[in-house]
Amino acid sequence: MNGSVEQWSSIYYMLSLLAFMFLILFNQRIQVIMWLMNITRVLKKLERMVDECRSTLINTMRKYGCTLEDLNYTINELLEFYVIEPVERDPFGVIRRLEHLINLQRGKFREIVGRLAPKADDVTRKNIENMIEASIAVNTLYRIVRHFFILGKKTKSMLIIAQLEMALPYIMRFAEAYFNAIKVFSQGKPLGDGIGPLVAGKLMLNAEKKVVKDDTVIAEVPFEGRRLIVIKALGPGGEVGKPGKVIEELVEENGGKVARIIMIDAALKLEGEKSGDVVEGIGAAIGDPGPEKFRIEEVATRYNIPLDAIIIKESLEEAVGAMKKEIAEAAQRVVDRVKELIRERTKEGDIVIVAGIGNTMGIGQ
Amino acid sequence: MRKEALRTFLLSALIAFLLTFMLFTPWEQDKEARLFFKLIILLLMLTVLLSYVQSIKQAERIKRVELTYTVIRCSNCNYKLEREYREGDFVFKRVGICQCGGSLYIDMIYTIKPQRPSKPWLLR
Ligand SMILES: [Zn+2]
Repeated sequence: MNGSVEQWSSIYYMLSLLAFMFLILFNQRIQVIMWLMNITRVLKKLERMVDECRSTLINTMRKYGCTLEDLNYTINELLEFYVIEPVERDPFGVIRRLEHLINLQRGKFREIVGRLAPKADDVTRKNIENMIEASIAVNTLYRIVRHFFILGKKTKSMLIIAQLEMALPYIMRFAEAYFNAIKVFSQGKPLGDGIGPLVAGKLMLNAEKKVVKDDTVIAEVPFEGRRLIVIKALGPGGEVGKPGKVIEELVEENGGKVARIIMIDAALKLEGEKSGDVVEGIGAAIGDPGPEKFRIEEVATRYNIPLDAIIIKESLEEAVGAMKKEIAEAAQRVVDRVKELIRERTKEGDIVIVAGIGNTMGIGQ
Repeated sequence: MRKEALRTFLLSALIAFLLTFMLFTPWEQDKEARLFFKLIILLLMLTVLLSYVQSIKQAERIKRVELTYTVIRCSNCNYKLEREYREGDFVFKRVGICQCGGSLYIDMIYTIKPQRPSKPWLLR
C-alpha cells in the first residue's frame, strides 16, 4: 500500500517537471500553433461564405435564364475581378482617369449580368450587379487571409501570424457584413444606405419626375416660394446614380444661380454612437471613390455655392444590411430638418438643390 | 444538435460511472490516485458544461430570423396599414386607391431582428 503511494507521487513529480520544461521551452511554438488553429477555423468559415456566395450567384443566374455550361468557371473568374487604380504620382487628371475606370467597371458588370442572366428585368439586373460586388468583396477578404496564412506558415514568421490573428475579428466584421448583404440584395429590400434616396423620394413624392441620363432622377418641387430640385438615383433597382455629374449640369444650366446645395447621406458611425442620429455639417456628403464628390466640390467652389451635409449615422452592418426600423423612421425627421434648413437659410425665389445620396435598392420614386 | 446532445449524454454517463466507482472503491489510503480521479471528473464536467454552452449559442443563432414589414399610407388622409413584406414591394410603389379617393403608396419597408431568446439560468 505504502509503496504504491510513493510510486504515484514520484511519477506525478516527474510528469509535472516535464510539463514545466515543455512549457518553458516551447511556449512560443504553442502560442503560434494556437494562433494558426484559430486562423484555420476562420479561414474555413470564410471559405464556406465564398462557396455560398458562389452558389447564390449561380442559382440566381440559372433562375434568370442562364444556359451556360461552365457557369461555375465564369463565376470563379468574375470573383477575381479587379480594377487597377490610376497612377497618382502624376496627379494631373487623376479623377478623370478614375472616373473612366469606374465607368468601364460599370459597363463590364452590366454586360456580364446581361449575358449571364438574360431574362432578368432591369431592377433584378441591378440587384445582381450589387450581389456580384459584395461577393467579390468577400472573396477578396478570403484570398487575403489565405495569403497571409500560407505565407506565415511557409516563413514560420511569428510576426505575420500574430498580425493576421489579431486583425481577424475586424476582417470578419467586414466579411460578415458583405456576406449577409448578399441575401438582402437578392431580395431587393431597402438597405440602410438607402436613407438618402428615401428622403429625396419623400420630398419628390407628388411631383413630376424626370429620368436624366446615368440612372438618376430629378424632380422640381415648389416649396414656399423656392424652387427645389431634388435628385436621387433611379429605383427600385440597386443603383447609386451619378449625382455629381447631374448636380454639375443643373448648376451650369441655371447659370450658377443656385442658392444652396443640400446633400443627405448615411455615414459610418463611431462605436458607441446611436444609429439613426441625424447630424448636420458642411461639405459634399457622398462616399464614392472620388469623381462624384470632386465634381460637386468643384462646381460649388466655382460658383461659390454653400454646401450643406446632413448625415444619418449607421454602422457598416446596418448600411449594407436591410434597413432597420430606427433608420427608416429617421427619414421623416430628416425631411423636416431639410425643410427647416431651407426656410432658415434661403429666401423666396431661390433655387435649392437637394440630393439624396446612397443605394436606392427597394426604393422607387 | 442531435450529435451534441448525444455527446453531452455520454459524457454525463461517464461521470456518473466514475463517481459511483469512486464511492464504492475502498482506497482511503491512496490519496494521489483519488486526487487524479477527482481531476479527471472535474475535467469531464467542464467539457459537458462547455458543450452545453455551445449548443445553446448555436440554437440562439438559428432562432434569430429577421422579419421585414411594409408600411402603406394614403397620400390624402391618415390611413396607415402595416403588413408583412411581400416580394415585389418597394418604397413609393403605388398599391391602390384609398377609401377617401387618395392613392395608397408604400411609405416604409423596414426589417427588425427579434430580441434574443431569454437565456437559461446557467448563463444568465
Ligand atoms: Zn385615404
